Amino acid sequence: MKFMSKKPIDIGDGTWHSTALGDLFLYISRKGEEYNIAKEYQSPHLESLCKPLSVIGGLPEGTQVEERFYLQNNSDIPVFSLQLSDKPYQVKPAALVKIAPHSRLVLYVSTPLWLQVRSPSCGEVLAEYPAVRPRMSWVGSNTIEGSLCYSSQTSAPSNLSEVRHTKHRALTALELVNDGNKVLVIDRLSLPLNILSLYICNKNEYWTESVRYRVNPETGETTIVASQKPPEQLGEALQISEARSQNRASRFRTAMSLIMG
Amino acid sequence: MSELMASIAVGEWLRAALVILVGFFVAKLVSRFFRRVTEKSFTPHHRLLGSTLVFYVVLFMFLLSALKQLGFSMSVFLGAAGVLSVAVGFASKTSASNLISGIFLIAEKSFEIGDVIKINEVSGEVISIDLISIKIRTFDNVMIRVPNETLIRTVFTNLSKFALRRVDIVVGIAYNEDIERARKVLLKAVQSHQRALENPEPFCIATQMSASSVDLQLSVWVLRTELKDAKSELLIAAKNALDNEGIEIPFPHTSLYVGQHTQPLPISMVSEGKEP
Repeated sequence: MKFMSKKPIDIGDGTWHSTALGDLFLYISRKGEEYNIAKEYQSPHLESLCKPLSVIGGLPEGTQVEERFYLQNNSDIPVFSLQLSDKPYQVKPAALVKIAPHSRLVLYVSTPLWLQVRSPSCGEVLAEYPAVRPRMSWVGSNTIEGSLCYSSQTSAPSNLSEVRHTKHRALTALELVNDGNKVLVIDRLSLPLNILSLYICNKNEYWTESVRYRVNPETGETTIVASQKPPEQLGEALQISEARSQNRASRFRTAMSLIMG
Repeated sequence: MSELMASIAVGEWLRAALVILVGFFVAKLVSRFFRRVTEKSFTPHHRLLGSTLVFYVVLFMFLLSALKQLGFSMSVFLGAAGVLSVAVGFASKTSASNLISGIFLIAEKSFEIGDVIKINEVSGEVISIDLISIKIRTFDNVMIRVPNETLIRTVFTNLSKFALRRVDIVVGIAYNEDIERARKVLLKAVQSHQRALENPEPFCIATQMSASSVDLQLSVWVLRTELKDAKSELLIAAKNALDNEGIEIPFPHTSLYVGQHTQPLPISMVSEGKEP
């Protein structure tokens, strides 16, 4: 089942509706021009969910309305959309990755999506929740230099056929190029999701643009280049949401410690 | 003096007034330009202070020019200003010291408005940084004024300089407990906690063997903005984890001896409702 990429939230007056994605249960109701939103997360140990919007009897016990928003008129129906996370994701491959000098490797990593409720007229985000409650982390050489990010453990296979697709995660092809004369050891890596866009490909899988990291382990210099689209072998891919940070360059240089620290 | 004033023609007065008026607008323009130029490089507070300083310096120069228009001798005026400044300097030694300290503090950028700092026994949020003093709002909503000179002389702590803080929780476990198992239980409890950062990783070390317990220090990195809640929640999580695993957290034991060393306390059985 394909989860909606931009679906109108056309719901009746006074009834609660529910949808689920990943670990997230999102509840929404309408009273005229007012929309109420509530959410809850299931245990991360349970199987991920993907349920379309459907009527429910009422809010589950103990769940509180978290947000209320008002739209101009009844014809202004909000829409669901999917988006990548608002911070970089620190990707931790299940096993240490070592790349020989002057070699390259492509890893496929997946990161959780965010479910957004948008106003159709202005496109502004009214509410958004991550499909999986993210764990905060820090990427940097020390506790002073660096930046906040989310963290995700991933199997990071290097073969496309081994990639496991889920409806609440987007995949990114990470090309790692070792430009130095030493072995490049990767324990974790910061993925700049805020400069990437979300695509849906023919097989209803979510992908981002591919990202290339050129690293020189001797100097620590790293160049990150985001390509214009997902891997070509996927066939045609349709962009369903733009990058959160439009101003940031798709190519930038940084210190190795600031993305792998 | 009145003769001097009377000798100045009306035209001179008007010209001087015009110079001051023009000076006022020029000073405003220059100060606004300063604010615009420093928009990205200065903090709002520094921009405000800088633009005020620029405004008064420019206005002062126009004032001097206006006085010259009126026929005042600048050398006499500056001489008088020098004598006056020495007199004012002696009279306001503390204020001058605070003023200079304030300039150093602003230049040093040790803290900004909104930072939480601790000076001696006082801690709170900085609500204003002025040339003479800073104002702190304590957590129980009391305003405290700290002279800048004190800040220059005293060690103070900026609690919100960096994005991350470490929460240290000291837990004592009974001497008969397995320390390694207790460490693992504590680490597991916080590793899955939402407020605990995954990297830098939490750690747990045995710190000392105290009177009644072996003390373990559980250190967890959290977001500075979540420090208060994180401290409480992590402490609860640690306590619950030890309770669930049946690991004893001992309280201080005291042995009490009464009377002679060899004689035990007399104990007698008392039946209900009867006097002994």
